[in-house]
Amino acid sequence: MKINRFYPLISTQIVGKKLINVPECNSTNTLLNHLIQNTKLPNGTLLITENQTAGRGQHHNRWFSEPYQNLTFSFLWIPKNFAAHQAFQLNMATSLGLYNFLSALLPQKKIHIKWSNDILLEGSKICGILIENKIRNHKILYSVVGIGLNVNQTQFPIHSATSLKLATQQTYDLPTLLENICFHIEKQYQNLGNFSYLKSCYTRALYRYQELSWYENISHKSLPVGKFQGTILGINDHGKLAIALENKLYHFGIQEIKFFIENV
Amino acid sequence: MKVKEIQDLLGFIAASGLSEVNLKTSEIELHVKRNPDSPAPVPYVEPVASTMRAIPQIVSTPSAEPAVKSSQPADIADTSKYVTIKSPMVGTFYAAPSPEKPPFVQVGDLVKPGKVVCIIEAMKLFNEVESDVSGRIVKVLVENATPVEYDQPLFLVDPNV
Repeated sequence: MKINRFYPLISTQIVGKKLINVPECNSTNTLLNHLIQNTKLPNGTLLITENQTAGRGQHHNRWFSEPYQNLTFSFLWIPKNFAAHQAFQLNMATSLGLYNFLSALLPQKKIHIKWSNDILLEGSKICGILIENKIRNHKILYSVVGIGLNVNQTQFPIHSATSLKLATQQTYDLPTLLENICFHIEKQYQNLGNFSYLKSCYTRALYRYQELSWYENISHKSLPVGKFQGTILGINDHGKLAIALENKLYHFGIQEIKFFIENV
Repeated sequence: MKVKEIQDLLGFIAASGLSEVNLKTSEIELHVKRNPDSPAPVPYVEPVASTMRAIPQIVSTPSAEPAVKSSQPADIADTSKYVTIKSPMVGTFYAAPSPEKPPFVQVGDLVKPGKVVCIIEAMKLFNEVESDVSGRIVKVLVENATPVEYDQPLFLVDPNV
């Protein structure tokens, strides 16, 4: 087991210039949210731990990560003037940063963004994103962007997860990866505000883009509940998933649809 | 009679100080009576969710039907002194940080700018929404865990406290 040392990043302008490394915490998002409310932190402040004991995923799901094997970190983003209704751009920019990072690292592998912000490697989840925004006067006051990337861990409680090591049989240096990831994310954050550009990149990277596949309608009111076959054609302005079904386009919110995954 | 005309009419009545108005046209018959307990009328500000829902009922009543008795105008006189906290985005409204925790705010609570009033989840983004007004929560206008639209009123707030 290798205990890493993380230093302020050198290849970025904002993200990770201030870096806080804690030996252990429950969730980097929770701790960074707590810190920002009690102290003044510069834009881009990054909090990382090698032992996240109660990592959070979507909707109170847990993010399980073995100590010292993976990257679990959060960074603070303080926009100057960013309307809350544009928030989906944050999902796109963060996902695209990770997508570009992985695509450059593993050019032979299939990397995808599973709507709305899961990163898949050969169809299995390798990276999770949890973004929490504070909204004041219809604007984003600040965002806490949490990222969990499976790196050197090789055993997972769920079958649908993978890691860099599982995919390549190599062991990776975590501080080097962190530097690379943040470089790619920061690059994408420069596109925030340019919805159509982010959307075109994001759409092309989407898992099952323009492929006929199986889904389950949970609660979309215009369709019968249950399994159906449709084709992802993109997203709308709110980030809803656009699926074509028998020559009609339907837009799904996050709780309205499930992906049927064949290999699960 | 168009919805807008009815809104204008009710707004005019609310602002007029008249306690009772009876109106009959070829299309509609309207009987408006102000709650005698209600405070002095204040200028009509904007229709809030509860009045918006009530108006189509009036419109849909054919002229041949008996007179429409509406208690809504009294509500207008009441709610026009209130302000609303609106949804900053399309998403799902959550009144509490997690299902087992108490809501951020309840009816009767005092809020001020900066106080977190709800979470709007939008495509896996979690947005803690702060109040942009000061006052007392009069009504929560949205059910927990239900979809909300951009600019939809979420809370009715009495700023005069």
